[in-house]
Amino acid sequence: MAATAGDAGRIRSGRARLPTQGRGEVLLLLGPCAVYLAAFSIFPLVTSLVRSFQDYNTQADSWRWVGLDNYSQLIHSSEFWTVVENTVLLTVVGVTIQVVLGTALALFFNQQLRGASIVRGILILPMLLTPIVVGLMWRALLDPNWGLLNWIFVQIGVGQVGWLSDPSVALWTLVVVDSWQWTPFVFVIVYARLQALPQEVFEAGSVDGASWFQRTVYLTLPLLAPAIVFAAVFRAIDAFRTFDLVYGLTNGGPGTSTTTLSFQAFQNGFEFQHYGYASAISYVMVIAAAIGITLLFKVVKVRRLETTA
Amino acid sequence: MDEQIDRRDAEAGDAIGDLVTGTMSRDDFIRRMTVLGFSATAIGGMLAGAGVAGAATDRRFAGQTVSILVAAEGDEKGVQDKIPEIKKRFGIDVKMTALPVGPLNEKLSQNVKAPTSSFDAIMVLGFTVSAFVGGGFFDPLNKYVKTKAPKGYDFPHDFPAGELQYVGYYDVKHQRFGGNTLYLIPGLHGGSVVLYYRKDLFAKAGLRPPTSWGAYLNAAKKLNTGGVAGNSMIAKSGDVSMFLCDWYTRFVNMGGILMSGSPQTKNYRPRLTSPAAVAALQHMVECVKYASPGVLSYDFTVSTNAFSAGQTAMMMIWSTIAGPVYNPKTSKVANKTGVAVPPGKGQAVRGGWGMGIPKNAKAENKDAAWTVIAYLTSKEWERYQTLKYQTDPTRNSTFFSPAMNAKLPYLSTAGKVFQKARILEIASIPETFELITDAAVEFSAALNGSATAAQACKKANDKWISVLKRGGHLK
Repeated sequence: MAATAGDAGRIRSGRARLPTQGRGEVLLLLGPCAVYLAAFSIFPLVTSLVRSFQDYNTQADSWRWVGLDNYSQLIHSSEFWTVVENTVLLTVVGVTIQVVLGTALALFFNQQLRGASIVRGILILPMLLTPIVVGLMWRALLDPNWGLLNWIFVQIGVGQVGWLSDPSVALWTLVVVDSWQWTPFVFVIVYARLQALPQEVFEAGSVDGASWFQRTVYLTLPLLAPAIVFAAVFRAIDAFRTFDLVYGLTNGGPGTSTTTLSFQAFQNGFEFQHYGYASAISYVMVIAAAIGITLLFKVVKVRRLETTA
Repeated sequence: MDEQIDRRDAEAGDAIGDLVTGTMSRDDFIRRMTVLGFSATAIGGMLAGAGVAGAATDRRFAGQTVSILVAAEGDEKGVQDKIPEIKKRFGIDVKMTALPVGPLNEKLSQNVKAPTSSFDAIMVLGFTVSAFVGGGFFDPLNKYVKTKAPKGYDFPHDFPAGELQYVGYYDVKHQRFGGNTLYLIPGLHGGSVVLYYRKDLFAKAGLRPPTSWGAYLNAAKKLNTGGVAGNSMIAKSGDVSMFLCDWYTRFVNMGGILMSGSPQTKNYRPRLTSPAAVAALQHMVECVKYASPGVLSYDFTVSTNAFSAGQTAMMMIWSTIAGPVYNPKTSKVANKTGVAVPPGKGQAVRGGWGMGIPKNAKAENKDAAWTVIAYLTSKEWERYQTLKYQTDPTRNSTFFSPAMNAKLPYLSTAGKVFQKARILEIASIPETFELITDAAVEFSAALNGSATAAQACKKANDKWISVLKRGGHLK
């Protein structure tokens, strides 16, 4: 039996139900997902929101309502603002480097060079490692006594660098290590999109006499924009909540020079059992991430509309 | 005849050595001594001397399973080795979970607050006693040690009084260490801070182990040659051992007192800006000049590895690093290392763990759990563990045993420091870790030159005040 035009309209409006569908089927199909979301997303979100207005007493094993105290403490703590600055720097600088390098690598490997497939394979290896292993591995490489990097620096006469012990260098070390691991991710996304671009556009460009540079700037990059934005947003979310790399590499130090919001939340929650304060930090992160991502998507949407118009 | 007796004594001596090290089982030892013609009384005396007199087979709990949570700080190896022995002797199946300190504390916290604990016996770190024992989460053990301690258990006489006060007795009502209620048995390892030094380098330079902090600095300066750092320290930012091993050892031996008032009277105030506090940090700042260029990222493991690799002339560190440092397989300086008490008064912070039974453990398992605890805190197990894995013991009889010291010469020095070690003043409140971490973060600013010692101490002091106020320990 064919569906009528009215049915199609209802389906499009999202309120339609197929004739054979009963309430039981809907529950069966959506139920597990709804239960999963409720148990593992909604319940923790609501609980941690409530906890962020409470203070936990370890000895009495009790929670006390403190209102906005945890948030007030956060806002008035100079350490918190240093941590915010570290997190923003790590996210913005790190993701920018990764997007630029990843896109450049994708364009480079799109040249169909000999042996490129082997190099491509090797290039994506870092992102297969867990960040905690990356942290420990780089800690060994950067070790002041037997680390390879300092050995090279000493051999060429630069001298030892306090990669992880100098407060003015440590955060940049973190950015470099993060970029080392995640540039391949951007590369893979952009390269995949590059392979799927319509060749006719470029052929037409060539016929019109456009140089490689012009084709890249006026054709390739605009066509790649959705993939680049996707990679950047994905990486920004990930970088914003960086924890394991910090834990493995610097433990937030020296001082608080590499402490990120996630690390601070972890430390307060699991090391100091200051769960209310840790929940408040987490909520600040959730709010900041939600605002950031919404703004980013709005910009992308506006640009897309401008392009199509 | 005399020759025969000498040979018999020599064989008995070897057997005692094997028994102590765990190479020979208690049953085999009894058989061997009987063959050698010793009387039952003499064998009993030898067993008591070797610390296994109480190893009677008690099979009342045969078939039960006891789950234990222990620290993965070397203790787990000795426990794992002896699980078959526990099964053989008591018929109890032991299920062990071993975790590093952080995850162990998280697991402990979750378990004691659950309706029923998954673990029947748990190791508790001294710095968390106030949070967990003080929270009323553990069963008193007085009745067990009074009526169910195995023969030769030697409680409390064989344990240093300070350690019993720290990881044994607790006054829950007044929230302070000590009192009359026993909640934990000290173990599975203890420890304090000692000075590890290179005997060969000191001898070559005509130096003796420093007995004052001025002499320490001079020695560091003199021994700081191209290939070897004059001294070392745990200087990684926020590392609790920086505060406990390096700063606190200097501080107490310079006459420092960490706190004034008390949490109970809500006037618990830090003294991190006192002259001794600043002087201790300033001394560390001076010492950094004669340390490895990378010392600011040194944690416990890196410090130990650098010393074992022969790159450090001396350092103050937890006595429990003896294992890797004295092991020729992991250390280049195994035969060149000496141990001395800290300069000054020879005092340091008290470390250590205790083992207890959570209140919410399964009632039917509690007696069996006590049997396991009594075995794992016995002289027999401790000697086995110390000899095989060189973690620090808690019993006097292990620290000062001539037989043990013949094999591990550092033990009696570690024991001396351990006996008079000081309980960290702030260990009686739940915010201990937070306070130590905060101070270690601020102190690192002085060590890397971004603040003076006085500024760093002031900042740490301010942070402590706000944490103490938040915790209700200071009005």
